Amino acid sequence: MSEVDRRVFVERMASLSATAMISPALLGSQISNTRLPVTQTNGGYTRANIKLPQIQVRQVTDPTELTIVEAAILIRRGEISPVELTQAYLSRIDDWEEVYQAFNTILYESALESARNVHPQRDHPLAGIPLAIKDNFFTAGVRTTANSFIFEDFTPNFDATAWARLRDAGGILLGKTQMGPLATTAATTPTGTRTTVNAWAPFAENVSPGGSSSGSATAVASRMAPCGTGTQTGGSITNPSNAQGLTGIKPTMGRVSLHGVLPLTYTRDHVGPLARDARDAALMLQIMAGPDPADLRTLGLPSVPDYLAAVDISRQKRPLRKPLRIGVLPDYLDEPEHETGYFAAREEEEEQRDREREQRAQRTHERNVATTAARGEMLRTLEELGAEIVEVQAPRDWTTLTSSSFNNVRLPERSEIFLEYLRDDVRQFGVSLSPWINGLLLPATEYVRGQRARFILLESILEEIFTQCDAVVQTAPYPFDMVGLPLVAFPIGFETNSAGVPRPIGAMLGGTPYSEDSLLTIAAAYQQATDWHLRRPANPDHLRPDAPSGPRSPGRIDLLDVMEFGQ
Amino acid sequence: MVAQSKTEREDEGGRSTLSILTESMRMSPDLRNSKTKLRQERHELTDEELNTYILARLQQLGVDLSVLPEDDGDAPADQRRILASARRFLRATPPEISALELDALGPAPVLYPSEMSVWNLE
Repeated sequence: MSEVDRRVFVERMASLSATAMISPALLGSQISNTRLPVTQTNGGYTRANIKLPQIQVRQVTDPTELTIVEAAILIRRGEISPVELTQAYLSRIDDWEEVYQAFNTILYESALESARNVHPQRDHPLAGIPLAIKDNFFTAGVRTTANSFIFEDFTPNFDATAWARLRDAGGILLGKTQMGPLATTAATTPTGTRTTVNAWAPFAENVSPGGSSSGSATAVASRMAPCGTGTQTGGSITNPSNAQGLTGIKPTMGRVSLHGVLPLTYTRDHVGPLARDARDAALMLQIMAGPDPADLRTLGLPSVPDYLAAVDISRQKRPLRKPLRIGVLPDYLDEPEHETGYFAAREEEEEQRDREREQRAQRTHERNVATTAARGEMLRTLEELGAEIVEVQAPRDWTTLTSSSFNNVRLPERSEIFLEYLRDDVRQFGVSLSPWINGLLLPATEYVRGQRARFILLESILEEIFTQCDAVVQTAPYPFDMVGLPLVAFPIGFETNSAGVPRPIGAMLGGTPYSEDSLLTIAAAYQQATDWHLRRPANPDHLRPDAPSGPRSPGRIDLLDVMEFGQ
Repeated sequence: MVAQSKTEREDEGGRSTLSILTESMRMSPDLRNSKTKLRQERHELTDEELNTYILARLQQLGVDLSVLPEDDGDAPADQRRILASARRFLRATPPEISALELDALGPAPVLYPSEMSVWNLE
């Protein structure tokens, strides 16, 4: 037995033993509130030996403009205190949360108390950094609702492993962020009333904030938090990152523990950061990543690489030295399809005047043209940075195996997880009930065949795409999140509407299993040559429409849209 | 009330639902010479038959849709839309997946393909 095999075997057995401990608690209709042993190492990198990169901190007048690396450096130098930093974010929350609605719990007192107790001299990389944590991460003593009726009164008594690692690294819990009910859609109440808005267009109902991690995305983009966590089952880290000008990493399955994160789909849930730039994303991932005996999906994997070294490109002129090949699928520079999402769907369902439809189509066309241009410019920039741009062909079975039917293979997993709640009262699922019901209806034969197809899809991606390139551009998170491959999302430009309001355009790159370091290198190199990631949205008072000054009227999503467009 | 008609619909529609789907095989052009084959199946189950299947399955599991309003577009969920979504799902998803023909000696089902790919590395 090889060394790797032996390690896999031993660690998996250890994990299964640990998992067995919770089995009785999982019987019945209760989500386990029992903490399992959480490893304090992540394959060599402990929280203590993660060194902050030594970078030149930008001069800013507003501390909420700092990245977490910059803020951590200033805290250590004594140029800003954790209390001042936390207070700055709380002030912005006071000013603008009513518009953005990014949080469903804000921890004013405990965040400041934690900030007062920070000892910056301790070698904790996040010492004094407030963080926005998605509300499906268990946070000990703090309500964890997943924006659902089911968990509206649930308070866990331990921290999710990912959050525990951030906390142990010095992170401060600023608040829990809004999300789609049980992580299904963009953030809404359980009954479907839209909550969180896009920080770049807070008064435009037709501009999506992204997927279910949109609360974290809006908090970070609006400078109400420096960094946030998200989960992705079907696009919910990368989509909100792209929608709001952020850098998000959806790691490979197993790279970050899911223990203590309310599950949606065992085989497709991923935890990752939504950050201001690639360096912050690297730091967050470095802290969160690594094996956890409480989650067997994290065991037996390659060691966690040094992500911070990966983004330390030290002002190299051509940091993406060949033979780094970035693959481009044939339709990447075609005009994109119309954006999908519940807003678009609702628009289609409603009867609109022809003129309004034409205007909408024109706006979509303009955005698509801008997106195509930004993609082309991004590829040129990456080439200038040293990458080789190569055209790659989609695998032969791509269209079939990535169809929505094969995507639906995920649904029985959520139905099984929540079966007791479904039996208890289906009304607890509010607007997101439909995929749970549909998951109950997929026969086991098709489920098994779907899982086999997933592996074939992965093999074809590895054999037919990644033999031609090292990373590949993607126009959507799917199917990479379906097969557990890593994705990085980052901003590549802006489109400006007729009112002169800019809106971010994003790109996604996918990589081979556990190649997050390579993806981060590409994003960091690109961000060294561009400044899209540094732009921040105007405050809402500069974006408010001329007419009404009262609160915006929240939109609603429909049950059928959740099935169609949810994750 | 849908709940009241559950049993009736089970009796009326159960046999139909269990009937073998009529098949019309067609090979997708893009799948020729590939590792997989797609078998297209035609089925003409009615809404009524599918509703019967759906409600029987839910009843077997102990999941009760009758607590929802029958038809209320303003409610977060109602029976009409849930059943409509379920019918759409059943008409598309199981047939398309089951139509994919895989080699019996092909890959075993894998829940975590990216992890498996690493375990397979030498």
